[in-house]
This record gives sequence, C-alpha cells and structure tokens, in this order.
Amino acid sequence: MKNCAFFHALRFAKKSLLRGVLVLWVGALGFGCQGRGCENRPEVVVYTSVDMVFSAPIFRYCEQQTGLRVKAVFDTEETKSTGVLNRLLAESKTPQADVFWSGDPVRPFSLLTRGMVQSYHPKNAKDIPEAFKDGNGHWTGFAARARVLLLNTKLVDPKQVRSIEDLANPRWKGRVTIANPVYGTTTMHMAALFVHWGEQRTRQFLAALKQNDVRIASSNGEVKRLVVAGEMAIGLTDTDDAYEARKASRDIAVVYPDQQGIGTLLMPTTAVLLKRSPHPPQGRQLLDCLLSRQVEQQMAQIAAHMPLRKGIETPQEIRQITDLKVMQVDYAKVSATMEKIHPWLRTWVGI
Amino acid sequence: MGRNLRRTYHFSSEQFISWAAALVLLMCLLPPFLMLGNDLFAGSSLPTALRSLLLSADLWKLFAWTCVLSLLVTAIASMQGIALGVLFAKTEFSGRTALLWVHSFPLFLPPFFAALGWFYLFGTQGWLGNEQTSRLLFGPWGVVLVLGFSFAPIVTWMTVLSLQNIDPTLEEAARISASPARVIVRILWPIARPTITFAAMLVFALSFSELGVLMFLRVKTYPAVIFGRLGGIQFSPGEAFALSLPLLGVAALFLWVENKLKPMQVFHTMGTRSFQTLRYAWGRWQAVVTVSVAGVVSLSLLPYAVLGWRAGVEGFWEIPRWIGDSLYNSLLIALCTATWIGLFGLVVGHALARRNAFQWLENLALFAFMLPSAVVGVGLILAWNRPITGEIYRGMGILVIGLGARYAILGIRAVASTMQRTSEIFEQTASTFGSGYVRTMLRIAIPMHRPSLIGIWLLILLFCLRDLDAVITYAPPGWATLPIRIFTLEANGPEHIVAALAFVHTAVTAALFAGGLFWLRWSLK
Repeated sequence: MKNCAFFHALRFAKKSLLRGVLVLWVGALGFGCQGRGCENRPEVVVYTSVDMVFSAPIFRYCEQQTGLRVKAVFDTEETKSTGVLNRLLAESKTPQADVFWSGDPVRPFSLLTRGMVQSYHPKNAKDIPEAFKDGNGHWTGFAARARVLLLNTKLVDPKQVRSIEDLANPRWKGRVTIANPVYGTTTMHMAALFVHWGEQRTRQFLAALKQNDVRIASSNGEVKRLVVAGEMAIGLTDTDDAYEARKASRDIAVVYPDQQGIGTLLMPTTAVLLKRSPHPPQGRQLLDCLLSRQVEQQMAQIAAHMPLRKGIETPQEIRQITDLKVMQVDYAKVSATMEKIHPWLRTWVGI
Repeated sequence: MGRNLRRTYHFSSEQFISWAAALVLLMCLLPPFLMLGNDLFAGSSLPTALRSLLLSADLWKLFAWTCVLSLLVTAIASMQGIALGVLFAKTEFSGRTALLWVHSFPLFLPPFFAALGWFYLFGTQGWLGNEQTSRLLFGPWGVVLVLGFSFAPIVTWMTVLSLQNIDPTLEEAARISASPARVIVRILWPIARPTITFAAMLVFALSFSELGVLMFLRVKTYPAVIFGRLGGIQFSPGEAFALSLPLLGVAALFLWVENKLKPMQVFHTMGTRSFQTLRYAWGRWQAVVTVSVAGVVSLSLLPYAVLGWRAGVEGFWEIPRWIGDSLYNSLLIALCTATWIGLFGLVVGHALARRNAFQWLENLALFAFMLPSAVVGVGLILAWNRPITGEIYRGMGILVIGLGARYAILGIRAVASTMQRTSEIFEQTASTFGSGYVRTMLRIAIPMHRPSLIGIWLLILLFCLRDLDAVITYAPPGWATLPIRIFTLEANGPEHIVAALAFVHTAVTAALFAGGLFWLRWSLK
C-alpha cells in the first residue's frame, strides 16, 4: 500500500513544486467563493450585441429588479451584431442562451427563419408602438438608434450635406468614411438601401462611393474617432456614437439624413426569447425587465438611444422619433436582403 | 529479473503516454476535424471556398502582405532581442539580471495593452500625439513597432539560453588568440544561430496569428479575414477552414526549418563539460551600457506605465463596477490550464526526450498552435456543445481545453528540451531496481528538473493569463477573462476605465511574475 502511486504523489505534494501550485489553487478557489461564483441565485443567459458599456448597467439593474443572476456574452466592436449571432447559430443544436438582445432589428430574423425563436409577449411592452414589435411575439423592439451623418464643422459646412447620396459627391472625394459594411449596423443600412432604392441604384451608389475614395473604417466607433480627429470630414454612423462625438468635440455636427427624401433609417434594439433555452422562465423575466419603461429611460440617458414610447425624457441632443421622418422599411425584408447581398458586399470591400 | 522489471516500467509508462496522447489528440485534432465534418454533412461550402481561395488574387495578396508584416515584426524583435541577448549573456554590467527580468515582463502581457498605451501617448488626443503620430500608430509601422517590442524578449531569452549553453572551453580556446568580437562572430554566433533562428520563427508565428493589436490598430491581415468569415452575417465555418489551409503551409515550413536546425541541440566537447559562464567586462563603458540597456527596457515598459497615468484616480475608483468576475476567471483558468498542460506536457515531453518517439504528437500540437484561434473556437463549440458535455461547455472546462490546445506545444516542447539535457542513466538505474513509471517520474525525473518545471509552469500560466485571441470566440457566459472584458469594453467604453482595467491586469501579472521568480529562486537553493 505504501508503495502505490497515490502515496508517492501525496508525499511529493509536500515538496515545493506541488505545494506552491496547491497554495495558489486553494487561494484562487477561496477568493472566487467570496464573489458571485458560489451564489445560489437563479441564472439567466443573455447574448447581446449592444455595447457592453451600455448593456452591462442595464443587466445590473435587472439583477436588482428580478433577483436573477444575469450571465452575459458581449460582442466585440469589430464583429458587432454578428459575432454573438453566429455563436447562437453555431450553438443551435444545444442552445446555451435564453435571450438575445440585438443592437438592431434585423439580426433576430436570421434566428427566426431558422426556427430558433420562441414566441413571448413581454408584460411591459404593451405601450410600445405596434410597428416596432411582432404581432406573434417573436421579437420586440425598444430603445432605438438612427443612422446619421457626422460632420467635422472645421472641414465641412453642415448645410452642404443633407442626404446619404452626398457621400458619393466628388466634392467630398477622399474625405468620407463609413464602417465596414460586412459587419454591424452598416450592413443593415446597405440592405435597407437595396430594399428601398432597388439593386441597381444602390450598386451604382456604392460604386460611386468607392470611386470617391471612401475610407472603410473597422467600426462605427472608428468612424467617430476619424471625424472627431479631423482626419475625415464626413462619417456615416449611429446616433450613440454621434452623441459621444459631440461630447468629445465642439466641432461636430450631426445630420439626420434625407429628411426631405427617403427618411432616416431607424434601428430599435430588439429582444427575443430563444427556443429550447436552458432557463425559459428566467428568460421571460429578463425580457419583462428589458422591455420596461425604466430600461428605455436608462438607455436614453446613458446610451443616447431614442425611446419608442411616448413621454420618456431624453438628453437635449437626442431627438424624439416623432420629430423625425423615418425610412419606411420592412425589417424582415431587410434581413433577407442582408443575407443575399453579403457576398457582394465582401467583394465590394475587397476581402 | 532485469527483463521483468524493465517490462513493468515500460508497460506503465505506455499507459500514461497513451492517455496523454489521447488527450492531446482530443484537444488539438477534434475541433478542426469536427468543423470539417460538420461542413461536409451540411452541404459543404469547402470546395467552393477552396476554389475562390485559389482564384482570389486579393486573398493571396493579403496573405503575402501578412507575411511581410510578420517578417518586419520578426526583424525588429530579432535586432533588439539579439543585441540585448548578447549583452545579457556575454557581458558584465550593473543591474544585468534585474534588467533581464524586467525586459522579459512585456512578453507576458497581451500585446493589445501596449497598443492601448501607445495610443494614449501618440493618438490624436494623446499626451504627445498629433495627426502624424496617430497616422503612424494606426498603420503597419505601428503594428510592427508594438509587436516587435512585445515579442523581443522571446529572442532575447533564446539568445541568452543558447549562449549560456555553449561549453566555455570552446570559447576559452578561441580567446587565446582572437578578440572578443571575433570570438562572438566566429564561435558563439554559429553555435547559437539555430536557436536564435527558432526564436525568430516563433516570433513570426505569434505575430502572424495576432488579432487584438491588428484589430485595434485597424490593419487588415489574413487571420482577421478568417475571423471575419466567422463574424460576418454569413456564418461560414467551412470557408474559414479552407482559408486556414495556407497557414498549415506556414506550420509545415516551420517544422521543416526546425528539423533542419535542431535548435535545442547541446554541443558536447571532449572531457567534462564546464558550466561556468564567461563574460566580458565593459570597463569604463559600463555605465554607458547600463544606461543604454535600461533605456531600451524602459521604452518597452512605457506604454504600461501610461495606462496607469491615463486611468487616473477616477479610473481606479470605477474598477469594482466594471471588473466583475473577470480577474478571478483569468486567474483560475490560467492556474488550471497551466497545471493541465504541465501534467500532460510532462508525460509527452518526457517520452519525446527519452524515446525520441511521438514526434507526430508534437507536430499536431504545433498544428493546433498555428491554426487561427477563431477556427479552433468554432471547432470547439461544435465538438463540446452537446448535452453530454454540457457541464464542460458551460463552465471553465471549455476554456481549459481551448487554451490547452493552443499552448500544448509550449508544455511538450519545453519539457522535452529540459529533459534532453540530462542523462537518462538515473531513470534507467531506478527502473532496473524495480521502480515503476510513476515512482521514477516522481522521485527522479521531476525532482531533478524541478526549477525548470516550475519555470515552464509559470511560463504557461502567464501565457494563458494574457491570452485574448484563443478564448474570445467561445468564452462561456459568466467566464469572460479580464483581457476579453477589456477588449470588449475598449470599443465605446470610457478610456479611463479601460486603462484602469488594463493596468490592473498588468499589476497582477507583475505580482505573479515576481512571485514566480521568487519561488524559482527559492527552489534552486
């Protein structure tokens, strides 16, 4: 018995190598149990493409409200809206997430068409306009962003740029930047143009944009940086980035494009409950919290998102959707178009 | 009697080696294999992807461009690493040992932190920044400098180890008639060259697979395109796998060169080997050399200090709100993975050193190291996200497996080269007297190499702690590590919070590094 391997291992553990490792292990485990790791609260898993800096405080709020422990997976800026979506697709055989909170209204359709979404009408979503939620309860929109033009007023007069088509104007050659249309809300914007203008006109517009030496930034955040820094005169981005840009520099103007034309593209964030999820009751609880008026208020205050409900106060610089001419698009159609045009967009970008 | 005892030893060892080999296979081969299988069953996109890869001039251009970028990083790291390595190994100046350890430190931090630090310094709104510095940083030269400085310690260390490994009798004989410069060029350099070339190739491989810095500094490279194939709206694992095939060519080249060079070979001379190290004195130039080396070392540490400066009191004050479980996750995952790799690395590395077998296992680990981490990530999801392995997939287990696949090569290779340097005679004697495999390992092999094994364990621990690329694709909910949290928050998060979190990671790594060195020193006594 004394000669068996187990006793040799134990004896060896008394020596320095394993003793050190063991001390570190015990220390780490002990430290972990001081934190949330050993708590016994019910859990809910949420995947989100809403920026962590905005969504994390909302999850903390929902934890306080519901008593749940919210375990979140966030997207990185470069793969925004698509990294976690593709993870959901990769995990489709054994889903791990209960809720998907998308930064735009079209990605959930990729899940919907694959039968991965469960119907649920959140209790708190009754006062959200019908246009921004699915009648069958497959998705519910709230806290929206709009696609806007960001202008550096040192380099361009805001009166001279009014439409998205101005980006292709040779006058601004080499001074315009957009985020990589393969990812994020820019993909949705291009797909919305394909739906609204038709294929030929949109391709012509994108060809003209390319000829105009448009700079492809890695993300909307990078578009903001380039315009704030004055490296680029005009950028196409989202309202939350525009809001940050305004805070960073006085020389920034925000233009809601095409107010006399097709209107500005509006993108509510969208929450869906996933089918065969590991914790369905907790998922529903989280959806109820996310769709509450208080969360929409918080999203307006901390993330500069436009509330879809009436009567929610917003910071001075955030416009109410009732003051805007909104581009009329069918989100389901935009989603289908997005999948169709994606290979072409990749070629357009050059990857 | 001898035959029986010997059989017991080998039977036992083979069992262990088989288990360890099965683990390496499971970790390294299963994910890409399943990814390929999944693609073939689900109406394969692989043939189309292969065709488009072969026909796409843009992709090959990008591949060539990534090679050029990695070669430039290698050149910068090698120039700095060789010069410092020679100074540290072969010359005597004040603070030499301390400076060598401090110089090594950036290697154990995510290179993305250095990029972040330089950005706070030289970005448009940085302390010393303007449009020109920002343009330089956010471009290929920025990448080359950031990665070159981050990876230089690899070359420095390999240079130091190779020079210290040379039998001083060779050098002494040369010094009778030759100048120090001639001794370095004609004796030391030719012997050390294979190891230094190997270090350069390691730097090339690391910079080729780097994602965080490239994404942050907005430079498009080939691995970023592969990551894009898994991040774009069209989820296309088969295509991503097809795109990773050229990287296997790079891995094959790596193996071929390494087999040609045999970097870890020990050079034996007639008679008893001396372990004394000869160093050249600088005389009145000593102060100049010390200041110059300290200057270079300080430059590589500067971006990390800038993180602390940028964080300010406000940033540190907000840490509890944003750090969550990420630091604990990082530490626990790194501890478990280092121990896990250490254990099977010990078995496989020992087998590799003593029997010169299982070369294929080492090649497989290298293959897993070279595969783009996004591809491995999706493969891991397909392999482990099943009802039966749910507990592993939902928890830390999947991260230990993923990091194990990526860094298995470190454990196997380092243990093998450590064991190759000592004679097998003690182990053979023990087995002759009836000692089994476990007993021989625990009583002879491990105690004999204890300091080196502690060093290897520490090395893997620190590498796992710094990892971002390997785990970002599949980190389970609630198990995000600190580098993931920082990278996720970096995009639109307040700069002072991002800087504060990065500084905390740096400080924790420094504490572990210092503690590890203290432990190593204590074990050598």
